[in-house]
Amino acid sequence: MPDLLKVKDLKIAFQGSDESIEVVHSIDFSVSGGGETVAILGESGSGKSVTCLSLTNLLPPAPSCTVSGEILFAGQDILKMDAKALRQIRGAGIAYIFQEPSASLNPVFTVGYQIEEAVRLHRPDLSDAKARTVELLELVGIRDAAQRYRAYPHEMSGGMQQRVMIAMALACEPKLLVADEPTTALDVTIQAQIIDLLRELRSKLGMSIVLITHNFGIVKGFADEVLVMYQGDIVERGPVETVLSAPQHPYTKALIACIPKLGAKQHRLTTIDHEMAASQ
Amino acid sequence: MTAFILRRLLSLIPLLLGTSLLVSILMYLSPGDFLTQARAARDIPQEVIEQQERQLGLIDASGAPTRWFVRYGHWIANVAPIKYGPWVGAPEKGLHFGWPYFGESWTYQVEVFSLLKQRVPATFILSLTSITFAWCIAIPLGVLAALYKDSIFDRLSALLAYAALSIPEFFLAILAVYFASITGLFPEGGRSSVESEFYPWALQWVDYAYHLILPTLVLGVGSVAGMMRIMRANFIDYMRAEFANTARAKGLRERVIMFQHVLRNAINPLITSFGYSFASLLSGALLVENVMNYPGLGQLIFDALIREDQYVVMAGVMIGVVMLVLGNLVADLMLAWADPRIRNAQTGSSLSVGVGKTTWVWMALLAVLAVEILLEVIAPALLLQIGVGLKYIGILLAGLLAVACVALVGYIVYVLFKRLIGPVLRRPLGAVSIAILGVLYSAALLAPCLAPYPITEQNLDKAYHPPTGFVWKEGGLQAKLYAKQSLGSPVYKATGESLPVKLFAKTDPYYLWGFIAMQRTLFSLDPSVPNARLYLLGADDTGRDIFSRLLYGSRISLSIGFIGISITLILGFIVGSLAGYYGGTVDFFAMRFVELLMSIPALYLLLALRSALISPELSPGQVYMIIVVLLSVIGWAGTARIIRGMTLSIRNRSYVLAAESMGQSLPKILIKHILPNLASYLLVAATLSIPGYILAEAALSFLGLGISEPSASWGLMLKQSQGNMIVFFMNFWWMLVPGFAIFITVIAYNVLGDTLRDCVDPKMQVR
Repeated sequence: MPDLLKVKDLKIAFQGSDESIEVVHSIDFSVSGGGETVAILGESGSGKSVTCLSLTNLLPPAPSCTVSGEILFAGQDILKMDAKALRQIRGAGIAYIFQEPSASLNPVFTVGYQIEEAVRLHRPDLSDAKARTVELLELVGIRDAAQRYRAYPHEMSGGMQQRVMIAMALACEPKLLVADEPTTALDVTIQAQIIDLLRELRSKLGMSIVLITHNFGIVKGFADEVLVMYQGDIVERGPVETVLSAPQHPYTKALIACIPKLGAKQHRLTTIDHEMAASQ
Repeated sequence: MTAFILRRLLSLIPLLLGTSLLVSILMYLSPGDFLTQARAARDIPQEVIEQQERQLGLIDASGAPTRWFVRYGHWIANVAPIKYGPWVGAPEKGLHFGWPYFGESWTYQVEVFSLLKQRVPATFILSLTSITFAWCIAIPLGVLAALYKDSIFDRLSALLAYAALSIPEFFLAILAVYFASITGLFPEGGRSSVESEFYPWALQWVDYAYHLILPTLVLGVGSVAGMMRIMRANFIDYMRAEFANTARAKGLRERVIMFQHVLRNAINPLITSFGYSFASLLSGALLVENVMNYPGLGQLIFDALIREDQYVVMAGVMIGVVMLVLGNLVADLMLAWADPRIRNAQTGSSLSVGVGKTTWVWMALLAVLAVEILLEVIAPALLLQIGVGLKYIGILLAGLLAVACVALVGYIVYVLFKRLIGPVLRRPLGAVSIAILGVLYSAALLAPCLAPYPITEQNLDKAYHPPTGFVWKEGGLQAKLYAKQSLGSPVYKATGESLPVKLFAKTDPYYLWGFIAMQRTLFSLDPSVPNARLYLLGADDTGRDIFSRLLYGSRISLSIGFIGISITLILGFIVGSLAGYYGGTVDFFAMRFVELLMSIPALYLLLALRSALISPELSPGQVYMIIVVLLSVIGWAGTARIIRGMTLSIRNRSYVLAAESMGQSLPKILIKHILPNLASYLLVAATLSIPGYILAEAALSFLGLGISEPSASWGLMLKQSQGNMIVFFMNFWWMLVPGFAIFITVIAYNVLGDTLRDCVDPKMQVR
């Protein structure tokens, strides 16, 4: 399948009080259309969230933050687009779900209103936006969708809030879904449900996914390709099975070694020595 | 929702009962009564006075003075709508309904209710228009300042906001009337023109509106400034919120994101403050009404308080409380409508005063009262001795408390400042404010050295002397001499002669700070010409040098803020942190008491307490002490509440639990764990509260109820009331200088506080 998203030589720098700090040092990667799932793996501070926010130029504008390089989405460079074209891509071409659903939803508007906003924005041709919204709520597995339409975010549990976020993201059937640690704030059973939901939607809608996570359990069985990021660089990439079974880079090896194994007798959990990894 | 409203309205009953009782006690404690002036006049015979006393109910049939609680009992009986005759409130037998009767005004000889009917709507409309004006201006300005953060517009509006916040309200009112009389564009006061009764109805309303313009502006300006800063801060906070980014990711336009998503959230805290701003409006209205001659509730109460027209004061303060509680109720309802999270959790917000809860506190207070009444009946002389003794012990304790608090707070400030002084000085505004405050405090400390003349030195032949001009003659600076144009008029003209100005001139010996013997002052004229004076800023009505009085007055204004805030912080920290830490009964009682204090408009309470506690025989130092304590006590409530909230949130953090599990004692936990987390916030809050104390003292002195002659205080120096204030200030503009002194001090503190807050708040450091 042709490349839906192609990132070339992406550099992201933030302006500190005195000097500029580069947090992403020239990375390249690509995502094909039609359902490919790329997972970006890394610890806090590796630059993964910042990378995915830059995909539709959602980072603060210069001088606070400077993004350079090329981000080609369906052939067009996101970084060179004007505001109007960018707004059309956001939501309709690339959609997001974020880590903290309770903070990502506006507390003073109903969930129905917030989803409908997205629908109205990108599908003005739809005569009944409300019906579409209810349909979306049902699609993501929320029961009593018609009543839940009028609910406020604080009246829902974390899992349901995340489903609402997914519904909002899907409102316009985007080609690419960027999920920034969608399950980190949820407990394990809900985590599984959300991933299953994403899997189902991916096959139904043929939507590609960029998944940010630090959880190997999600990567395996859900993603096709994995990129390991460390301190602003992609240190290893490849198909999931290959990377997980035969990691090349010491950092990846150390990451995998950190996973506590059930049944193994470990006195101390393995940790990563940053000095060692940085020297590579 | 209806249950909530009903509960709030029901809570008014114990609150009003308590307030009327409190005011009644305070008036009883006030020295003298309504007929004091009459008694002092020589030409009113004793029998007439006695007859008046009988008529007013001050003495009973046998000639003995009535007890205050008996009078209060009668008053309650009249006020209650349900009467049970013939004992309670009505001559007819049995239970029946009667309209509440609030008594008669002794000054005006009309029913209190009809007086209130005239005055209350005036104040209410004024408050309403002020709030509307403030909101309409503050919200757009705040949003724009946030959107264009750090632009010229933002900085300019910030500067204007500081200025507006720092002008004492009564001073602004004076300037407004001054402006009105010079330009003739606005009426100089009052509520309606003299001819308005002949106007058709529609024109009458236009006339009212015309008279409302200046008072609204004066009252509203302070609110605009405060609200604008809050709006800006909230907006900036929510601009960075997660959901704003989500909205952006959906593809919404920036404009929609800002004005729909962000604004709808940012405005909620402002709605909460609506209740509080109503309270400060009622207090502010009192000052503005006085200066601008606007016949409202504030002016009525103030007048009545001075004259000790008892029933008017009681009813007036009660109305003030009602307006405050209703204002809070409206604010809570608005907040519930605006914020769905509160709507669902509406089991009674923290502002509400529940019916059952307050009654407990009243029970406790009633018990204390019962003891007092008993003593009064059995042994009145003993009670008097106890009262007087308590007062003096109280003053002594207050003095010790003040010293302790200042020392403690000084130490904390020193520790914190070492860390913060660098960032503060790096910001230009911070450096400027510290410089200004440094100059002011140094001048205050060195006042005797800088002031050419003592503050009590009068020169009646130099009354209203203008500021001295200077000439350069014979190689040195010389001061011009002036003489009156004609014997009767206070207009001066330069005579053409001048005397050399002497630096480090010799004066009468004095002690600096009580122990350093000095004999020189920074500048003066040669003492060889005994009647010549160098009035740098002119002289007042008895020929006292304004510059000298300004310097000595700065000692009072500058120290009151500092000492007052120290006491408030320590008291607030002790009570607030204990309430937050222990929760339960301690928290319950503490918070009920705090709510009580906050239910009465601050200035009303201040005036009433002051009337009760300050009697003529106290020395200026003792009066000063009492004022400081009064200010601290009233300001303490809000601080305690906030500290309690913060303690509650810190208390459950892991490190506190860890300390407890290790067996650390309570004071250690409070000081080592909770205090450092609060410290930065407290420092900022303190710096921003000091202006409030300075302004309150100035207001009190301006009304004649604070520091009194012959001491100097900036507020007192502005009180040259009697008669036509405006013509007066037009001719002798230099008398307004103390107002600007207050303004500069307050603005320096406000700017410093804001700068400190920026240094302490990590979020503000993101460019």
